[in-house]
Amino acid sequence: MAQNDVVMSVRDLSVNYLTERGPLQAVNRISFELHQGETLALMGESGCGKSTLVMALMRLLPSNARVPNGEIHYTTRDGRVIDVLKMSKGKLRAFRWSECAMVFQGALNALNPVIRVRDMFYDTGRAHGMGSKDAVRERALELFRLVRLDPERVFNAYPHELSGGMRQRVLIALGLLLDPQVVILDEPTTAVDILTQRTIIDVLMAIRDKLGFSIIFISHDLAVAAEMADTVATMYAGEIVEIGPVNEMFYRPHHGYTLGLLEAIPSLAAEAEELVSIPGSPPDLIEPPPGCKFHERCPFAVERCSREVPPLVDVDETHRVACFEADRVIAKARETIQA
Amino acid sequence: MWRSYAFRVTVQGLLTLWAVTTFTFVMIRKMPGNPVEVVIDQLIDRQQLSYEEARQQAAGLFDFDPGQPLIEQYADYMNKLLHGDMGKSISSAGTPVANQIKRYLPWTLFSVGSGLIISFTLGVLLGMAMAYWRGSVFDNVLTAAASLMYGIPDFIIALLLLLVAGVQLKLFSMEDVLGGVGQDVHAGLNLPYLKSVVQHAALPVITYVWGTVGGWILTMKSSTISTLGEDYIMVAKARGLPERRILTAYVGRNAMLPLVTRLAISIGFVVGGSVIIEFIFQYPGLGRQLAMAIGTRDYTTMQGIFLVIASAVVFSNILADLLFGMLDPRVRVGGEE
Repeated sequence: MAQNDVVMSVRDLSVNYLTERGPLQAVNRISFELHQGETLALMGESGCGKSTLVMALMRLLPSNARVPNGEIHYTTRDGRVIDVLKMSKGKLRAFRWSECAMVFQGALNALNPVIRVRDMFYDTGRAHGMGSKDAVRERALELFRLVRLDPERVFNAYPHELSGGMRQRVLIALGLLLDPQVVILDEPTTAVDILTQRTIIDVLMAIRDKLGFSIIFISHDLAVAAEMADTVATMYAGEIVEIGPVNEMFYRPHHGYTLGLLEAIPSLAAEAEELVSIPGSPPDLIEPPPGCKFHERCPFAVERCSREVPPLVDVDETHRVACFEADRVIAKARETIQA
Repeated sequence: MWRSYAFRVTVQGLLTLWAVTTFTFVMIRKMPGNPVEVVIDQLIDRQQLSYEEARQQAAGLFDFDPGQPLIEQYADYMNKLLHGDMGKSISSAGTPVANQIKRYLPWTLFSVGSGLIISFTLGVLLGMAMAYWRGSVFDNVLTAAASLMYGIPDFIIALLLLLVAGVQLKLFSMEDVLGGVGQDVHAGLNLPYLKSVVQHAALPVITYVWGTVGGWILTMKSSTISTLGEDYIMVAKARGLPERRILTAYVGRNAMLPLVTRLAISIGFVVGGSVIIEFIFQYPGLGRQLAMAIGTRDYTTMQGIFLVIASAVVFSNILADLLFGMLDPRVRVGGEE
């Protein structure tokens, strides 16, 4: 991937939540780049800041959130660079959905229950000057066909008349209405059954290849991430601790936490006792531990880990990790993953 | 589908009305005392008659026999009712109950109705604003005020209004506010008459609004807060919809759903009016009439008014059903397509 096709570039981004006990560092100095057509998967435990990060990208953070530092730059199709954090209210409204759309988790509540699906499409089209209702309708029906829904029926339905999987696909279609460059998917497959998951992933991959948008993807399901993603980032306690191409991450992890997540996946071939969970629980983000935030739970931790914060360093051109003991992790990984 | 629903609702409504009518008929007659005894007591008090003299005099005033068996009275009453006749008032001999209702109902509809509209509108607007700026001074002050207002019984408010504003501060004179309309104006569509009507309705309306607006405010506030936390509001923002559209079609409409049922039921009680409030302000509505009918044990008038109230409640419940179905497709009956 060439350097000049970056769609979204995040530098040094932090997000704090103001709480009674003090600021909670939900996202801490995160940097990454998203390229055209790239699918980036974010993985990590609940509460590691994945959702906060993607909310920050669209400036949808709740009112008690603050962004003390960082920059988000977005490059439009015609090459203009937008500073997302400094946009005015009106520009932000226009930016949302037309440049960067989001498919939320829990499709059940993401659609207004008292208005028809078509009205949500009309609302969105009108808010972005998409022209006549007929134009919106035509585009919507085309998208419904792409996500394998019965176009006419779904377009005129109320949300409660659709199944969970159908609603999720309606949301995907709604997300693509304005042909955005970036689509954020926040656990798009958690609320649906396993067969519907399959359909949704197939649909997503097919339309991504057809329309060529970039995806930022949050999933607890590493198998889904492995299948869809080009790049995978592991987040722990509000930080990206490792980021790299999907094969590198899954076969040559350099961070103890990435390895821990991989070992926690049940596989049909593996024996039950080989399943290892990561001991302990995520740290307090109001008063985070010194040094590497993972050291208390890390089997590879040495004395230095509790004193110094490991910087994110290059393993190679595309793979970066924040760990002092990366050599020992990869050695262990070679044993367990190859076995 | 629709026809079977209409049929079911109608039958249910009629059954309810019959049950209420029968129940009130029995209850009213089981109250201690009867219309004749009330007049006997009055005659003894006022004219210093002996009991026997008073009884004879009173019996001549009524074409009503309290000794008639209950079941016969009931059969008679139901028979007349089925022919659309609510009977004649017992204490104001000769006046048909229907005429009394026709005369007093408009006053109640006007005063309590406008009170309800003002209260509901204020409550919805303020409640929504408070939910938007929750935690602000505006919200905290109004929440406290609303709880306080909601907690004071309306008859206390009525008395305080009369005593503090009327008697002590002399903001108005009693003959300007008590009753339904001034003595010296002619009924009709002329300005002095309308002005007098509004002036006399002011205190009952203020009392009514004061007593109920707190409830609307608090309900709307909590309903709006929970709606604001819904995913679809976040999604609407993410979709870049204009604030105004989100406010009306996404927040307002959904937050008002729980209030619709309450509103319709309140409409039902508008007809019954506020018995004590109308009594305190001497407002010539159905509520005051009911209080007076109870005092004189005027069985037929009481039955008539209770029947009107029950019909209004039954009707407004049906209205609530239909309205809710219109606003929330999830409970729509049958499906229209």
